[in-house]
Amino acid sequence: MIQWFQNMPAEWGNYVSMLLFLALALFVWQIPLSKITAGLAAPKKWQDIRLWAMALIALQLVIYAMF
Amino acid sequence: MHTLDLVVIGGYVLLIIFVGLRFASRVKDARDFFLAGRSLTWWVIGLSIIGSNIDTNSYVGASGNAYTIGLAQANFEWIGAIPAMIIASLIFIPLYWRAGVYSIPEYMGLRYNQAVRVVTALITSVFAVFAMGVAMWALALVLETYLGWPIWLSILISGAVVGLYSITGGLAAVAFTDALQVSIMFFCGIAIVALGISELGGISEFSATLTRDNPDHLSVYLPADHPQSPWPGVILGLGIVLSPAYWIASQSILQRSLGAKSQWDASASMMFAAFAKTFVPLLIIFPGLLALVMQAPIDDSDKALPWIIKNVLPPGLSGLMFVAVIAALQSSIDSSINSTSLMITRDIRHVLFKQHDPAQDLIIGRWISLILLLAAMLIAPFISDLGGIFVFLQTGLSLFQGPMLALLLLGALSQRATPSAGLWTLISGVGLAAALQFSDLNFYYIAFISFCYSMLAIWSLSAITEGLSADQLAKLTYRPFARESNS
Repeated sequence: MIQWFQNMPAEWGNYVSMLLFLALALFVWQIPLSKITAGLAAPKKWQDIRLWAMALIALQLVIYAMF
Repeated sequence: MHTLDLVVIGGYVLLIIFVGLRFASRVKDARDFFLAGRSLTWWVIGLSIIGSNIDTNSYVGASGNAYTIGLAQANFEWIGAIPAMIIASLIFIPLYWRAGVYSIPEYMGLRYNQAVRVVTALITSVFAVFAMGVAMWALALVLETYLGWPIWLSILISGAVVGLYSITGGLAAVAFTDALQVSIMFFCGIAIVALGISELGGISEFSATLTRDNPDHLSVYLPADHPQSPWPGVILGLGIVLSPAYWIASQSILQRSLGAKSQWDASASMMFAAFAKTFVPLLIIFPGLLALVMQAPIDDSDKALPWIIKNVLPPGLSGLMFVAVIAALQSSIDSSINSTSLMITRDIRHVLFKQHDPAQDLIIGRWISLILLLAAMLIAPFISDLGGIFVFLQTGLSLFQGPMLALLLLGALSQRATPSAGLWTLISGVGLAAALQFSDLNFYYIAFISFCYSMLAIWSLSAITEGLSADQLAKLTYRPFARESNS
């Protein structure tokens, strides 16, 4: 498999990275909110850290698309 | 050195000593010393995580590597950190928190057995002592370059300052000084970017000059046959193995999250740290690129950052940036001292010495912290014989991070893994990685191969060995998609 990867151009690294980040976004969004805010009496919208994760992933997608 | 710089440096040293001594009065027992009494809030922990993470690798080694290979070095801050930090925040930190453990080896001990706990703690502790020695050497290198101090004097003074606040104040002192240090780092990092770009005539001029002689230096990935940073190796070894192993298994990183005041604070702290991490290349990659564009007359790429501090920043800001670099290196040493002391005090001593007295943990923890600091100071002068510090540390990590990641992944996310399978996989996986060091393989591939082997080994061996009961597994495995009653 390593040899197979080595035959691909460097730009493919950007595409693979972006795909990984998109897959991670899908995964994160599947986690129930109750697991994220466990222990909080009255969780507020900003305390849903899945949203923080989405913003982070969007930033990464921009970086790997640009460079 | 300008008087203003000396005032800034002196003020900083007095400030962190004051913080350390202030927190010392709050340390009453081992829980206060090792976990800050479980009182830390998310943003302090988040900044502290970055403070501990930006260490020798980053400030000196990574700047030097950026000078050599360019923006590809930033993968350690992006694909080589962010996905793993998100997973740590949402899955592993809540799991550790609910298990009520002090350390990752302690979790391994509960999930597998006490032998796995001791082996994990031993391997991690030995590596941590070397990593502290490397950090101490890097600190001495910066002091030598900037102040002209001899290496031995630099090691002696920096060791004394770090020891004073970390041994007296424990994790709370470490976390708060780290948070302060990271704020200084970002302020100075932004100043370097602004002044450097301005001096070179703007961002376009900077990019054009950089890529004219180094066409790949603004590409995040290098060709697959690149000897130092082949892109498939970066994704497979760094993104899939080394980075998750670091962010979900590193005691010095996760210890402050275990000291959070709530499970949410623990999770949010890592996510906040990931935001800061995204912008860390501005602090540690850019100076390396800037030194290259400015044609810095340096004989060793590890000297790129000290050269930039000395030649780009004005008096006062130069002293502050110098403080930021010292702080970054100090924060990695203080975190390692506290976390390694915890592992030796609890994960090794509690298991191997059955007659131990838990009430003595605080005193013993402080003595072990002092011994660790002295060991790192003794090792430091010999580190320069090992070659590039960044490559040395990554090679060391590739020895055991693959097997440890496999144990944590299958241990936390499945109920299949058994204690015996965990122990034999850990020992044989580290052995395989050590044997592969004699091959021509890049350390990224060694990490990936040892991880794949360990996943297969633990999966297979678990089929023929006895596992824990369902009751024991209930609090030790995380199933994010299970219903609330099952978690």
